[in-house]
Amino acid sequence: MTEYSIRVKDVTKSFKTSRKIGDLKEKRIKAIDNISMDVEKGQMIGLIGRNGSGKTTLLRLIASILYPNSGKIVTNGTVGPLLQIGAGSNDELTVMENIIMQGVLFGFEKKWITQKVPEIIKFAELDEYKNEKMKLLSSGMKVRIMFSTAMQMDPDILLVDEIIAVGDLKFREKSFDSFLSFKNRNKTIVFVSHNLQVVQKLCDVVYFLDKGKIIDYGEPEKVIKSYQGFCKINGN
Amino acid sequence: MNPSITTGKSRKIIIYLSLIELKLRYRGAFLGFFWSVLEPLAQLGILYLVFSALRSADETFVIYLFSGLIMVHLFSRGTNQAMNSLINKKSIIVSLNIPKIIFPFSSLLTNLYMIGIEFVIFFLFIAILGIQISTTILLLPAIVFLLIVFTCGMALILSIVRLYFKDIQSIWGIVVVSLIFITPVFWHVDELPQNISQIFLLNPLAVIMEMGHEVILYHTIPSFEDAAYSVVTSFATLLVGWILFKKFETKIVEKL
Repeated sequence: MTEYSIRVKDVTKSFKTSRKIGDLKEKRIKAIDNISMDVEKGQMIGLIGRNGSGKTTLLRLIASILYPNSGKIVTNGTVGPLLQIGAGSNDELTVMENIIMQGVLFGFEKKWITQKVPEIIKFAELDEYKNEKMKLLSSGMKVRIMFSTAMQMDPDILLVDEIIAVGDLKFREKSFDSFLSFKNRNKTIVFVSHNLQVVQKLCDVVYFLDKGKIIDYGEPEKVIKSYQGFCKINGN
Repeated sequence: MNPSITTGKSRKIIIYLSLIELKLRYRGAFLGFFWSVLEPLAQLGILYLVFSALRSADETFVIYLFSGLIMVHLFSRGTNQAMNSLINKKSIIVSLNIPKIIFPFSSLLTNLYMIGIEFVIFFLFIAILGIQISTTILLLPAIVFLLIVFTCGMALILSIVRLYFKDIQSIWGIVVVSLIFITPVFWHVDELPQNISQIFLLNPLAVIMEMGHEVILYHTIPSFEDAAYSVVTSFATLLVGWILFKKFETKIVEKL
């Protein structure tokens, strides 16, 4: 029997728009419009689409950061969201203190995460910065710290927004290797990226979203072609 | 990365974040942690100079003033900072599935550490000035607890209201400044005409402060009416705050 790690059933999510003077009725924008998808355990899923197509909203819904207006989302296992550079970090704290804070915010014991700090720093290749304040780090370095910390926490489902793109070439390669080892251990990854080559290389299934709807899904090559065709027609 | 952070884990996160906030508050300041001692002493000194010039004042008045100030600090700083706690932690809230109630509570806890320091200085003053205390002071922790409950309730209410109504920040700023005048910090309740004092004592904060003065300086046990009024208003405020927070918790990310 197929084991699913994420099941999204008829999910709609809309947001209120800012009301202008004289507007009597509240207006809403549908960010996700009646989407359903099933993600099998051990799969790497790619989400592609233009800006504002609903990719990040879908990740936030899967992570239970946002709640759907209708429909249901069920996840099987622990979820690790990597959605925003520097999320949960504080520029005035040191790199080591930030790693511990990120771990604590994810619900891990401080003692446990403190023991993991040397490994995290080593993976991020930022040993010489470990006692420096976070504000000294570039965006790429911050992503390295975040990603390395998340990897040590080893969630069952990893949700990755575009942030890996900020890392340098070497770190990106390293991240992609981590994804593969993650998959090999029967863990699930949902990956949002505009780098179609990487999506094609790494993902098992790709979903193409536009205006909150799934336009196409399936084999990466087929879906990417369909997305590229769509962009040409729409002048993008 | 647990989809459900348990109550026990939430408690640990609250303690951890409150200590981090405390650390950050004084990191980089030349006098660092000493400010937590100097700040209340400076305020007490200024108020004592002003009011002892206006009225007859002795050592007892210092203690009266100081106890009132500590209680006002607990409420005003606690509510003010908790009100903005969700906004200040936006980057965490929009990126992680974490119980949002952690943020107003951790902010309140940071303030309680500071209040703890103020109480230590307060008792040193009592010892140095040779102020006589009696066993009634043993009731002080219960009175402070009621104040904390009331402050928690108001903090939860304000943190949600702040998301929908930004003006509350300015309005609450005025309320907090006026607290020092509308609660018995430098005046005694019995100095006011009875009809006016009754109006002032509708304020739960004023009643709690008055009970504090009674157990510290007057060596009397607060009346049943005052105690019951404080218990009911404090817990009712907490209940309202809790219900309001839980009702709006799922909407917080969208309002940030």
